[in-house]
Amino acid sequence: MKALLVDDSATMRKIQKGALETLGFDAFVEAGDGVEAIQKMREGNFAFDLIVIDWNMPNMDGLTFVQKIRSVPALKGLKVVMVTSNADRPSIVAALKAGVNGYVAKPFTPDTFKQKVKEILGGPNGQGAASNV
Amino acid sequence: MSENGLDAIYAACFIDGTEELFRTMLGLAVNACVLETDAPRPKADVSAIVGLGGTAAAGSFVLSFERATALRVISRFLGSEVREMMPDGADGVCEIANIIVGRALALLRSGGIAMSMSIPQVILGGVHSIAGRRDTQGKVVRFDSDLGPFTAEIRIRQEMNDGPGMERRRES
Repeated sequence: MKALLVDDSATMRKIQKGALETLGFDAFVEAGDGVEAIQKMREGNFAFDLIVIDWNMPNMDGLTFVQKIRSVPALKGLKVVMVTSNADRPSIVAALKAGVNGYVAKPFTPDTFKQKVKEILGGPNGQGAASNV
Repeated sequence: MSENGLDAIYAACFIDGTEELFRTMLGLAVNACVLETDAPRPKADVSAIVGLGGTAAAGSFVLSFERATALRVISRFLGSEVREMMPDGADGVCEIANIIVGRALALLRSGGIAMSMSIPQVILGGVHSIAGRRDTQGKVVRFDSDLGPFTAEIRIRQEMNDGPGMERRRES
């Protein structure tokens, strides 16, 4: 499985990569902001099983990125999880309205992150995106 | 500010944020102790600094480690050994400070205090000390952990006008 990791912190991308490897992900593309992420998506022919994205980044933030990709009908099926310190209810609602499938607040445990990814991917313990509201 | 305990409220939120990050992302309990103003502080040669801004108050957050402690903490944070501060160690210290401040600001926001944060920066090398402006009130908190001690310093100045603070950058 292939994931696109979008965060301006290389450390956070590395933590996420380590967690996803335990779930069977074996290919990763990394980007430091939304603009680079869109470029990497084009280069990868938009073929990703999961996109993990931070909210606050330079150039293009995660919310804008999600709004952009959700405006393209062909990309509506992409699974997106937002990982951010913006844990207040208005932020969560805004992200869900924009089209994220799941939301993980920093700081998080590896198990919390992995469980959310499983839910989003519809794994054996998951209930699908509706459980993330 | 000390008279009405506001600096203690700010400090409590940053202590909670620090404890929560270490508990959740490193699986590590830390014990916090607010130091007396003139108490000796642990040596530091790695410090991450985050600026704070807002209409009610402005200030800074500084997280300081000895180099060996910083490397142990970052290694635990990443789940793999980090031997050098550049680039992985420095990036890791910045991200830890970023998450702590993000969490503290969320706690402050839930209490009606809106603040923004700058992009974290890190000071590396040599035993250094960091001094704040005289017009700020501060708390220095020593944290003890199995990976070694470290300190956090929160300095806050209440703003006396309703004008805008620093450019808002929401925590990431």
